Amino acid sequence: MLKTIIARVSEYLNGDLNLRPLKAIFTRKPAKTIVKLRSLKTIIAKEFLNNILNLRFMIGLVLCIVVTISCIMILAHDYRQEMKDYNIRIHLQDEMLDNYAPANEYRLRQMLRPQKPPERFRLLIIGIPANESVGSFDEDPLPILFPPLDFLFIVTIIMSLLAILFSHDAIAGERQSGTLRLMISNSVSRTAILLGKLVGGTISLIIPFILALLVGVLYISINPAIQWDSSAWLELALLSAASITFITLFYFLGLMVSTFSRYSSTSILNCLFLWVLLILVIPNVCPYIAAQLRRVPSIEGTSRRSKEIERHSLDVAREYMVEAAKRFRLKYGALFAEYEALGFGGNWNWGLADDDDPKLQEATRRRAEGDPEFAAMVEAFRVENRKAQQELIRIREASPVEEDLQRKAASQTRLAKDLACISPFADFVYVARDLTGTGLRSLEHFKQVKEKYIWQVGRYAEEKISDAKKKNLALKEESLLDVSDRPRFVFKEEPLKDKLIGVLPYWGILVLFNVVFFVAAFAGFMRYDVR
Amino acid sequence: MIFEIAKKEMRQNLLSYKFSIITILSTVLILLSIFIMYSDFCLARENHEVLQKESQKGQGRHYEVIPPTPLGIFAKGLDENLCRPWEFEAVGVEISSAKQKSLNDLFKLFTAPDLLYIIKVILSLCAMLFAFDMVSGEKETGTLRQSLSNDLKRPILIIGKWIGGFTSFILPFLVSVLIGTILVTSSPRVEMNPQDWAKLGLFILSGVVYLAVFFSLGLLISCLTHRSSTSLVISLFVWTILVFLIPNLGNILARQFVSVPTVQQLELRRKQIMEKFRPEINELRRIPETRSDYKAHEEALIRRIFADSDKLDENYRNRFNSLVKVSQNITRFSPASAFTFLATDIMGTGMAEEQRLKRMVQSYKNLIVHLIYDENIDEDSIPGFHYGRSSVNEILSQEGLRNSLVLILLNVLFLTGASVAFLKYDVR
Amino acid sequence: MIKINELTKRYEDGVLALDHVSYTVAPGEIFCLLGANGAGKTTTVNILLDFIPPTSGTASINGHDCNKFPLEAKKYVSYVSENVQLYGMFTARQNLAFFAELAGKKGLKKKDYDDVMRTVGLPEKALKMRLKHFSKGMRQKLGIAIALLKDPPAILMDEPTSGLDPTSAHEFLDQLRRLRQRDKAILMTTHDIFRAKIIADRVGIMKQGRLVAVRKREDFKHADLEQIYMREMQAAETVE
Repeated sequence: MLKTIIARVSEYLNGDLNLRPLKAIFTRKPAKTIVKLRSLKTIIAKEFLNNILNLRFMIGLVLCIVVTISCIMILAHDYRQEMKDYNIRIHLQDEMLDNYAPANEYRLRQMLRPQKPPERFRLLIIGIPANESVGSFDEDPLPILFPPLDFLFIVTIIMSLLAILFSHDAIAGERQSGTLRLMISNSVSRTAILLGKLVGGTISLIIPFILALLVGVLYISINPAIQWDSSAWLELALLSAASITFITLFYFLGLMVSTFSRYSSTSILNCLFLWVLLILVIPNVCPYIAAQLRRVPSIEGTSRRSKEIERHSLDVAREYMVEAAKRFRLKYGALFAEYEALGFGGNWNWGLADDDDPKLQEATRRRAEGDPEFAAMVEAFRVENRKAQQELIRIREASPVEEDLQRKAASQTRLAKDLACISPFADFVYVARDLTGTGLRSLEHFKQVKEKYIWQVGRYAEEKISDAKKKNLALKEESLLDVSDRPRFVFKEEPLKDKLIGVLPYWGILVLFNVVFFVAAFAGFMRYDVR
Repeated sequence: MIFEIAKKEMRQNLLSYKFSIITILSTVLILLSIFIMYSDFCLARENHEVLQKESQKGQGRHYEVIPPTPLGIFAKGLDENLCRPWEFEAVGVEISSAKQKSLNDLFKLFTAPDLLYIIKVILSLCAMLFAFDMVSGEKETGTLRQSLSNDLKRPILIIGKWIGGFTSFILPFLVSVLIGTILVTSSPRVEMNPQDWAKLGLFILSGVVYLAVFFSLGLLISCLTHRSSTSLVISLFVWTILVFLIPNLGNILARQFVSVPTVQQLELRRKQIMEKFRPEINELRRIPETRSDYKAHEEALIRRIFADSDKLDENYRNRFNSLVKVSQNITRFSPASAFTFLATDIMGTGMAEEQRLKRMVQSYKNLIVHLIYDENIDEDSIPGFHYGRSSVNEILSQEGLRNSLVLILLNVLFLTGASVAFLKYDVR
Repeated sequence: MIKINELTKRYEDGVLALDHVSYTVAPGEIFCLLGANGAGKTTTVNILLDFIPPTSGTASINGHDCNKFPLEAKKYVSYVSENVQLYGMFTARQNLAFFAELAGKKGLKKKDYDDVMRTVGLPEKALKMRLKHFSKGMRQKLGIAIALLKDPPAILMDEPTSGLDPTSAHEFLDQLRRLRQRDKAILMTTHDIFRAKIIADRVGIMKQGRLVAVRKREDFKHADLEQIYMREMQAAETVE
C-alpha cells in the first residue's frame, strides 16, 4: 500500500498525475510487488554493506566508542565529585545551623538557603550552572573558554558530521563512478533506489550510535555509585529516540544536497557549508540578535529608577506628614507639642522608617489612657499617617519597574529561543536538556521549588523567633536557637509527562525537517541526470 | 619555479567552486561576528557607564568596576566576568550587582560568536578543506604525474603548492578582518590606544599562524592518502579531535588531577568564618565608638577576620591556579587550545588577565588595611582602585611565548612531514 | 635516445613486473610496446619517469640514468599519458603555459602557442576554451601539444590512442610521423595492434614482464601482425 502511495507521489512530482496508479491499487498484481520488494531488499543490503566496508564507518565507530567511554568515565567521576561536594555543603550547612543559628530572622533565613543537588543526568549531559545568586567573584571561568564535552556533543557534532559523510556522495558519487547508470538500467524504480539508500544508509549510520549508547548504558548499570530508577531509563530511551531523529535529519540533508549536485566534491562542500550554518552559526548568533531586537533596560538603570521612585514616594509621604503636623499644631496647640515631645508616639519617622521606640510608644499609650482628647488627637494623627502610607504604596505600585524588567527579559529570551528554532541543533538541545532536567526548564522548576521553600523557611523562622521571644522576653539577637526541626529541602524533578509535553513542539520541528529534507531529496532524485 | 607553481595554485584556487563558497562563508561570518560583538560591546559599555556613575555618587555601597576592553569585540573570552562590579565584604569579595547580559538565559546554552571562535572552529575547518585534496586530488586527475615528468624537485613542488594555496586562502580572511576592524573602530564608542592596536595585530598574526597549522596538516594528510575521499574523511576526523575533543576532554581530565572545591563550598566556608566571629563582632558593637581602645579592638578583630578569610581565599586560588596550569599543559598540544589561551591572553580577556586582576584586588585590599590601620589615613582619602590591563610586554614574557611557540612548532612539524611524505609519494 | 638494459622490477608483494628487459629506441624511431594488461608496459614508463625505482638494470634517456639522475634525465623527455586530464578550470593556453614553464621553456609568445595548436590540429580559438569542455580527442591532441612545446629528444606515450575515434586516431598517427621526422625517439605502449602495424618502426611484444619478441617493420609489413602477436604469446606459453 505504501509503495503505491509513494509511486503516486513520484508520478505527481514528475508532473504526471493520472488515474492509472489509482487503478493499480485495486488491480494490484502480487508478482510485481514481490519483485519490487526483492530489488528493494537487494539495494538496502548493498547500501548497508557499502557503508560498513568503508573507511568512514570504521572511523565513525571508533570515534563514537572512544569518546563515549572517555566522556562517561570522566563525567561519572565528576558526578561523584559533585555529589561529594554537595554532601559536604549540606554537612557544613547543618553544622552551622546546629551551632550558630541566630535569633535574627534575616540572618537565619540566609543560613537556610537551599542547596541544589547535581542532576542525575550529569553523567551524560553537563547541566547549565545555576545562576543562583548573581555569579561569584571566584567562580570557575574555564568552562567559558572551553565548553565541556558530553553526550550532546557526541550526537550533535560527531554523529551529524558522520551522517553527512555517509550521505553526501550517495547520489553524486554513484553517478561519478558510473554505478548509478548501471542500477537504473535495470528494471528498478528510482523510488526503490532512494528508499534503499535511505534504509540501508540510516541503519549503517545508527550502528555506531547504538553501540556507543550500549557502552554508556552498560557503564551506568554496572557502576554501583549510580542508582537510576525506571524514570531515568525512560528518559534515556526518549533521549535516544530524539537523537536518532536528529541524526537522520542530517542524513537526509546530505542526501538532498547529493541529489542537487553532480560531483561529490561540490556536494560535500555544500553539506559542510549548511552544517556550519545550522550548527555553529545560527544558534550562537540568535541570542545576540534577540538582544538587539528586543532591548531590555539595564538592570542598573532599572534599580536606579526604582530607588528614585522609592525616594520620591518617601518624599511625598513625608511632605504630607509635615503638612499634617503643621495643621495639627495649629489646631491642637500645646497638646500636639506634648505629642511631638513623645516622638509622635515613638514613631519618629511616622512609620516610614524602621526606628520605632518602644519606650515612647508605652509612654504615649499611658498618656492617652487618661485623656480622651489626647487619645482622639492621636487617633486622628494616625489616620493621617495611614493616608500618607497609602499614598506611598500607591506611587510605588503605579510603576512596577522590577516586573517590567523581568517581563522584557523573558520576552527577549523567548524571542531568542524562537529565532534559534531554525537550527536543528538548537531544537535538539532544547529537547535533550529539557527531557533530562539539565536545561533552562529545570532551572525554572528549581527556582519555583526554591521559592516555595524560601517562603516556607521564612514562616518557620518567624514562628521560631516569636516562639523563642515569648519564652524568653530578654532574647537578644545573638542568642542561639535550636533549629533541628527545620523543614528540609527536597528537590524532586518535574514528572516526565510534563517535560515530554513541553518538549514536543521542538521534537516536532526536528521531525518536520526530516520530512522536508526527504521530500526534497525525493524530488531532486526523480529529476536527476544520471549520465 | 616555486613562484610559477604558487601562481598556478592560486589561479586554480580562484577558479574553483571551493574557493568561492569558502570565501563567501568566511567573509559573511567574520563581518557578522564583528558586528554582533560590537553591539554586545556597546551594551557592555553602557552598563559600565551607568555602574560608574552610581558608584561615584556615593549613595549606598561603593564598588569597583573596570571598563570592558574594545578588544573583547574580537575575543570576548572572560571579559564579561572581568567587568563585573565587585566590593569588599568582611569575608571575601562579592559581586555587588546583577550582570546585565545574563538576563537572556540563552547565552548560557550557546557560545559567543566572536572572531576567536570563528577562527578557532570554522576557519580551521575551511583551511583543512582547502588543503585536503591538494596532492591526492591532483594524483586522481593525473596532473601530478604530468608535472613530475619534468625536471622538478619534489620539495619545490610541495612548497610552491603550500605558498600558493595558503595565500589564496588567507587573503580573503585578512581583507574581511581589515574591513570589519576599520568599520568598527571608526565608531566613537570604540577607543583603542596604541597598546590595543599592537595587541590586535598580534592576535591576527597568531590567527594566521593557527590557520597555517591546519592548512599544513591538511596538506600532510593529502600527502599520506591516495584518494581525495579518504583525505576528506581523515581530515574531518582529525579536525574534530583537535578542535573539540582534546581541549574539552583535557580540561575535564585536569580536574581529575587537581581537585578544586566548588564556589558554593567556598561561599559556605566564608559564611562559616563569619558566624565564627559573630559573637566577637557583637561584643565590639556594644563598645561605644568614642572609647579610646575601640579602634584598637576593631583593628585586631578585623585583622583576624581578614587573616582567616585571606587564607581561605589564597588556598582556593592556589588550587585553582594549579588547575589552570595543569589544564594548559595537558591540552597544549592541540593547536585550538594553545590558540585560545594565546589569543585571550593577548587580548586581555583570558585566564592570565583574570588571575592578574585577582592578585591586584588582593593587594588593593592589603593596601587599604595598611593605610587605615598603619598610617591612620581617613577612609575618605583612600585612593581608588586603578586597573590597567596587561601590556604587550607582560603578555609575551609569560605563557604567551610558550603557546605561540607551540603553534609555530606544529606548523614546522606538519610542513616538514608533508614534504617528507611527498618525497616518497606514489604518483602513479 | 631511450635505452633499457636488463631492466628488472619485482614489487614488494613478489610480483615480477619486468624480467631482464633490454632494448634501445634510437632517434627518429617509433618503438611500439605491445602486450596484455599487466605485462609490464606501464611499469617500464614509470621507471623511465622515476616514479618507481628498478630492482636491477638500468633505464636511461640520452645517456642519463633515470634512477640515479632523474632530474637530468627528465630534461630530455616528454610524457603523454593515457586519458589526459590536466587542469579543468584552466584554458588550453594556461595549461600549455604552465607545463612549458615546468619544462624550462620561458618567453613563449602567442605565435608559439598558435603554431603548436595548428601543428596538432586544434583550432586556435580552442586556446581560450577551458579544458573541461574539451572532448577526449581534443585533450589527447593538447597532450601532444604540451610534449611539442617542450621539444625534447625523447617522447614517452602511454596508451595514447585508447578511446579515440578513427579520425582522431588517424590525425594522431600523422603527428607521430612528423615527430619522427624531427628525429625524436618515441616509445609508445599500446594495445592497438592495427595502428602499431601502421606506424611502428619496431614492435616489442611483452608477456608477463619479459620481452618475448622484437620485430622490425620489414618483418611484419606484409604479414598479419595480429597473427604474429598471437603466435608469439602462445609460443611464450609453451616455452614455459
